[in-house]
Amino acid sequence: MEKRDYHYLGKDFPRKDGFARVTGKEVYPSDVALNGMFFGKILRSPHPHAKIKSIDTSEAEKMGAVCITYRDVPDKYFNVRLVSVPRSTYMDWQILSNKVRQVGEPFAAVAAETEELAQRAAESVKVEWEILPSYLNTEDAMNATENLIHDHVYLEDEKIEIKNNIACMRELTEGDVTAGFKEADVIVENEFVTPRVYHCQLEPRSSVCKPEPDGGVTVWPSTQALHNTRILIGELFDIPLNKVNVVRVTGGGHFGSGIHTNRVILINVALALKAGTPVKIIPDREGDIYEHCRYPVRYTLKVGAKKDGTLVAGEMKALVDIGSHHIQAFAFLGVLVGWWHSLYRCKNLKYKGIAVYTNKAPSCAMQGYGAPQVTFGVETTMSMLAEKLGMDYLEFRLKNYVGLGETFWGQGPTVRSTIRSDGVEELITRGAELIGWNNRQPPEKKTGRYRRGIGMARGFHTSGTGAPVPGEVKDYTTAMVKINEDGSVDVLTSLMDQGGGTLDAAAKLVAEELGVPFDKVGISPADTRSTGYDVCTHATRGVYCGGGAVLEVARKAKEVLLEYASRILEAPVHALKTRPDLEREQGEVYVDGMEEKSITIAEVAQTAMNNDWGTAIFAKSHRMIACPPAFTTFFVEVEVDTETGRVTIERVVAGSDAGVVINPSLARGQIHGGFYRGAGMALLEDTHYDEKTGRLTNLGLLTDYKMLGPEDLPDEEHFQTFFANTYEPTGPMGAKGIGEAALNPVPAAVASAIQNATGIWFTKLPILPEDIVKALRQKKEGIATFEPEKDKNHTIEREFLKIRSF
Amino acid sequence: MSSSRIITQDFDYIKAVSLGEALESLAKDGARVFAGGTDLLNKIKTARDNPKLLVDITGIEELKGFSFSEGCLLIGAAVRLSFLEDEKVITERYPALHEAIKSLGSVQIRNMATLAGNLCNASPIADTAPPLMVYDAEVEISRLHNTRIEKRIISLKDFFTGPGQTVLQKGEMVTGVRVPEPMASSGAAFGKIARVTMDLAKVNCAVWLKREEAVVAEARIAVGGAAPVPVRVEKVEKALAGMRPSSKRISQAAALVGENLSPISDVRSTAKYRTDTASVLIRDTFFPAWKRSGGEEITDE
Amino acid sequence: MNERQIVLEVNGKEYKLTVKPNELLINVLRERLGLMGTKYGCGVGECGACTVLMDGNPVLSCQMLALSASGSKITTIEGIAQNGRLHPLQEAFLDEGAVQCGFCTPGMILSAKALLDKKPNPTDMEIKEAIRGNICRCTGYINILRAIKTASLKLSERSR
Ligand SMILES: Cc1cc2nc3c(=O)[nH]c(=O)nc-3n(C[C@H](O)[C@H](O)[C@H](O)COP(=O)(O)OP(=O)(O)OC[C@H]3O[C@@H](n4cnc5c(N)ncnc54)[C@H](O)[C@@H]3O)c2cc1C
Ligand code: FES
Ligand code: FES
Repeated sequence: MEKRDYHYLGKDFPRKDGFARVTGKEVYPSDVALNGMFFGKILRSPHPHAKIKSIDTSEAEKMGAVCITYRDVPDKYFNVRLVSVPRSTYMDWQILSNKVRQVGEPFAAVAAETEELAQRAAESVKVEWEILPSYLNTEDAMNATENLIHDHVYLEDEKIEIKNNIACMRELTEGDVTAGFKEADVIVENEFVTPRVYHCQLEPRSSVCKPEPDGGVTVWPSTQALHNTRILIGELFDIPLNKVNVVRVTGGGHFGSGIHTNRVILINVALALKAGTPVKIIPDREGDIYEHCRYPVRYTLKVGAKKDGTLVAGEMKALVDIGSHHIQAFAFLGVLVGWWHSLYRCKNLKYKGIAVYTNKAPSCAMQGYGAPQVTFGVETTMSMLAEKLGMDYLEFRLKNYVGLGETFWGQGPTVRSTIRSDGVEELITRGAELIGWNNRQPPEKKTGRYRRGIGMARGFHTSGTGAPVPGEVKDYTTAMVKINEDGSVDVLTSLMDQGGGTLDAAAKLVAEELGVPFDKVGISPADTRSTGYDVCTHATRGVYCGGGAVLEVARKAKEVLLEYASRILEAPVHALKTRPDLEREQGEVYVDGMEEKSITIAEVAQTAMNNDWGTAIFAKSHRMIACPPAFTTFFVEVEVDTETGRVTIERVVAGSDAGVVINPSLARGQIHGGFYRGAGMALLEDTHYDEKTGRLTNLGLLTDYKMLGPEDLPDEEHFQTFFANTYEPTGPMGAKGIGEAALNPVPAAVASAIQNATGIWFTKLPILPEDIVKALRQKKEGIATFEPEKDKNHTIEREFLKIRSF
Repeated sequence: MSSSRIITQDFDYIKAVSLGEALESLAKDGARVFAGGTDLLNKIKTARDNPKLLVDITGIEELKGFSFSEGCLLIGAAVRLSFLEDEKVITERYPALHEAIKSLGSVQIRNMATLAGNLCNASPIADTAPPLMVYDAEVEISRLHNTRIEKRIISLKDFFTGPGQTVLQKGEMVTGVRVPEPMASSGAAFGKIARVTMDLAKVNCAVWLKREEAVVAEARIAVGGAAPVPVRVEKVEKALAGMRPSSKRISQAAALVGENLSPISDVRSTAKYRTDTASVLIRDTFFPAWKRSGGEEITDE
Repeated sequence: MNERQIVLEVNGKEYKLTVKPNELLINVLRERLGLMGTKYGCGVGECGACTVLMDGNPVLSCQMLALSASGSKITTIEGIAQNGRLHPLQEAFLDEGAVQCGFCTPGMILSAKALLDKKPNPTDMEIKEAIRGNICRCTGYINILRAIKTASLKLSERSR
C-alpha cells in the first residue's frame, strides 16, 4: 500500500456537523431539554478533608426538592475510568460518600423544578462536619500515618491498605544503569516540575438523565466514552445494559477530562432515578474546576552520554500529586516511563514513579497524558547534554531519537509496536530551515533589555493504543456501514468527535473507499443501544483506530455491494471498481478496463432490494494492531523583556508527521490549538490551593484562571505549519494521529527559546515573569539553571528513601 | 453556597428615570447603585454582597451627559466605557484615559460598564483611576437633602479610602466625573502589566508631565495595584520635577517608587514583583508621556 | 415577589415576559425562550460564550439582569442567518475550519458580526481586540481570525 491520489483525503470540506454549530442549533449536554425535566444541583464540600456527622435535607424537601446523600446511592467502590483492564484499575470512588476529600467534592445533590429552586434547596441543606487534618502537598500527605485520605482501595476483589497516602507505585529497569553511568562522559541531572493545569473545556461537564418506564435510563452526558459510561452506570445501578442508553451529544470541549465518566453523570442518574423524572445538571464553573486537572509531575531526570553523543544511561524518579481520587494513576505512572523510553534510545534505564493522594481536585488525563510533562524534562535534558558535548541540538536528536524499525511504547510498557513510518528527519530539517536555525545566536551574544531567542523541541504522541499483543489498555472500535437505496451511505459508530474532525475523517475514508461523493456519506446519530463498543476517543486514536475500524467495515460493506453489482454487470467481483461520478452526484460501479459497463451504486442498491438480495451493510469490531507515533517538532522564537520578565511568542514553526493528512485545515487547527494550550502550560496556566482553607486561590473563577488570548499569540503569518510526507502502512489510507502530538513538545520548545534568549534553563513550569525576573537577578555569567524552590526536607530523594522503609 | 449560573438573593430593582428618583431610592436600606453591573453582579453571584435594592441609573438622561467645554470634560455616571473609547476628545486630549479604557476588559464589558462604576467599585487596580488621578479629575457626588439635590465635588485623589471603599456616604452617589483640560505642553500616558492582554492589572500606572523646554516642569504619577488604593507617588514626582530627562535619570527617579508602595502577594503576582515592575512601568510610561508633551526624543547620554 | 413585565425584541420577534429582578438574561433566553445557542461558560464575564447583541452591541447575557434588558433589541446566534441563508461569517467559520467543538462559536460570531457591522474592513489587530472577550479553548484562534477576515472581504465585495 502506498500514497495515491485521493478524491477527499487531503482536501477541505466544511465539516458535516458545522452547520448546526454556526447557527446555534448544535445540542450540547447543557442544551438537552425534556418534558417535566428537573434541574439538579450538586452540593460541594467547603472543607478539604472532613466527615459528615449529620446532614439534614428536610428544608430542601419541604421546598419540593428531591435530595440524595450517601445514603441514597449504591454503596459500591469503582473507578470512573474504564480504559485500562480491571487488573490495573484501582477503585476508590463512591458516587457519594460520608467523607469528603477535597474542597469542592460532591457530597449531596438536589433536584427541583427550576434551577433557582434547586439552588435555594441546596443552600438550605444543613451539614455538621467533623474536620480532619488535610494534606495539600505531597510532603504532608506522605508524612501522614493516620487520618489518611483513603484507608483502603480495591483492585478487582482485593482490598488494599493505603500507607502514607501513597496511591500506587510503578518501577521499571532495563539494562544496568550503574554500569551505564560509569560509561558516561557527561551526566545531566535536574529536577522538573510541571503545573496543575485545568482543562477549562468551555462547557462545564454537564449531564441529563431520563428514567425510562422499563426501569432503564437514557443519558445525555458530556463524555468522550459512551460505552464505558454505559457499563459503569449499569454496574453501579444494577440495570441491565440493554436498558442503559447513553446518547452521543457533542461536548463543549474535553481535552481528556471526559475519558473518565465524570461523577456528575453518576449523580445525575441517581437523582433522576430518585426523582422519577428527567434531571439536568449543569455544574457552575466554580464546581467544574474542582472536578479535574492535568496530572502535575515532579521528577528528577538523570541522563548520561558518551562523547560521541550516544546515550548510555538514564534514571527518572517521579512524584505525581493525584489529588483526592485515583483516575487510573497506575496507568499514568506507566506512560511516564513509556514516553521517555520512546523519545530517545538508551539501553540502561531505571524508573520509579509514585502517585500520592492529596486533598485537591483529582488529576487526570489532559491532552498528551503525561507526554508534555515528560517531554519537557527529556527535551531540556537533551539540549543540555548537546550543549555540554558541543553538539548541535538537532544533530544530537537525530542521532538518538527512536525511529523507523524501532519499538514504540504507545501507552506505557505493555503497549508496544514497531515504528513503520518516520518523518522526524524531515520535520527537523525543514523546521530548522524555516525558522533560520543556522543563524541562531547563543545566549551570550544577546544584550539589551529585549532579547530574542529561538528554541526547539520534538516529540510525538501515540496513535491509539493498539498493538500486536493487547496490553493493559483496551482498544477497539465498532462500526456499521450501510449503503442506502439511493446510493447514500450511513455510518454508525459510537466513536466520538471532540471537535478535531474525527467523524469527518471517518466519513472521508468511507467516501474514498466506496467511491461515493463525500456529501453522500452521513454520520448517523449514535447511542449505546444502536452501536457496539468503542473504548473512547483518547490517546489520539480517533482517526487511526476509529477511522481504521470504520474503513475496515466500509471495505466489508463494499464487498457485499460488489457482489450484488457483479450479478447485475455479469462480471466477477474482482473486476469491479467504484468511483464517484460527480456529474450524476452518485457513486458508480464499473468493470475495470470496460468502463462503459457501469451502474450507479443507487441502482445496485435498488436492484438488490427489489430482488430481495438484501442491503449492502456490514457491522464489525476492529482493533488496530499497532500504535504508530505521530511525530511533531516545534521551533519557537520568543522575545523576553528582561525587566518585566514578559515573554512574547514571536514566531512558531510547527511540523507534524501525521501520515496522510485527511482534513488539512482541521489538522492545522489541531496544531494551532495544541500550541496555544502548550504555550499556556509553559507560560501561565496553573492552579494553586490555599494551604489553610484548602480552596483554590482563584476561587474557581475564570477571572483568575487565565489563558492566552488572541492578542497574546502569534498571527498566522508568524505561525507556519507543515506536514511530513509520510505514509503509515498500518493506518487507514496511510493516516496516523495528530491531536495530542500538537501539544506535547510545546512547553519544552518555549522553555528552550527562553533559554536561548536569557541563558537560563527553567526547569519548572509555568515560567512566570516573576520567575524570569528573579532568575535574571540571581544569574551571574554564562548558562544557568533556575530550579524550582526546593524544600530541603522534601526532596524527591528523601521521599523515595522513605518509601523504601515502608 | 452561591453560583455564577444563577442568583438566588432576593432584591428589588428599579430603573430610575430621574436623578431625584434614584437618590430617593438610594436612601433606602441595602440600596446600591446599579450601573453596568459588571462588578456588582459578580459580587452578588459570589455572595460578597447582598443588596436589597438595585437602583439602575443607566436610564437617567441627565447622567448620560458627555461634554467638553470651558476647559473641562464632563462625563455623566451613566456613560458607558465603549462610548468614551471612540470619543475624539478623549483620544486626542486625554490619551492616557483612552489607553486605560482600551485596556479594560473586553468589548462586551466596555459596552456595559461605566467609568463612574470603575471608580466607585474602588478596586486598587481600577484601570481608569491612575489616568484620571494624574489628569486631576474630580468626582461630582450628589445626595438628597430633604427634597433638594445637593452636590459636592471632591478630588479623585481623595475619593478612595480602601479596597472597595470610597468617601461615599449612604444615600450618595457619583453623578459625574470632571476632568480639567490638560495644559499646553503637557502629555500623559497609561501603562499596565498583567498576566495576559485581557486581564486585571498586576500593576498599572499613569504618568503626566508638564514640559518646559527640555525640562520636566511638573510630574504627576499614579500607580495602581501596589497599595490598598491607587496612589500618587510623590517621591517619584518630586524627583522628576525640574529634571532634564535621560534614560538613566528617569530610571533613578522611577526606582524611588517603592517608598510610596505597600503591595501584597496574591493570586495574580507577588509583592516583590509589583514593586520591581512598578518602577519599570513608570519609566516605560514616561517616554510616551514626554513625547506627547512635545518633548524631544530622549537619548541615553 | 417583585415580578415585572418586560418587553424584549429577540431576533425580530417581540416577547412580553414576567421576570423577577434576580433573573439573568442568559437564563431567560435559554430557559424561557428556548434559545440554547447562547452558552454559559463562566458566569463571571470572562469567556464570552453568553454574548448576545443588544441594539447591535455585544454584551454578556450572564452579566445582565433581564429587567435591565427590557425594551431593547436582542440578537442571538439563532437570529443572524437570514431566510435560511447563512451569514457570511457563519459560512467563513465553516470554510476556514474555525469551528472545533463549537461551544464558543455563537458568541464568537456575534462579536465578529458587531465588529464588521461597525468596521467592514478591520485590521488584524482590531479583529483580535474585538474577540478578546471570547475564549476559544480549542482552536488557538488562528482559523477564527482568518474566518473573520474572509467574511470581511466577502462582505465588502458584496457591498461594492
Ligand atoms: C470580565 C471582566 C473584566 C474586567 N476587566 C477590567 C479591567 O481590565 N480593568 C478594570 O479596571 N476593571 C475591569 N473589570 C471591572 C469592571 O468592569 C469595571 O470596574 C467597570 O468599570 C465597573 O463599572 P459598572 O458600570 O459595570 O459598575 P457596577 O458593577 O454597576 O458598579 C460597581 C460598583 O460601583 C457602584 N457604583 C456604580 N456606579 C456608581 C455611581 N455612579 N455612584 C455610586 N456608586 C456607583 C455600585 O454600587 C457597585 O458597588 C472587569 C470586569 C469583568 C467582569
Ligand atoms: S458565561 Fe458570560 S462571559 Fe462566560
Ligand atoms: S471551538 Fe471549542 S471552544 Fe472554540
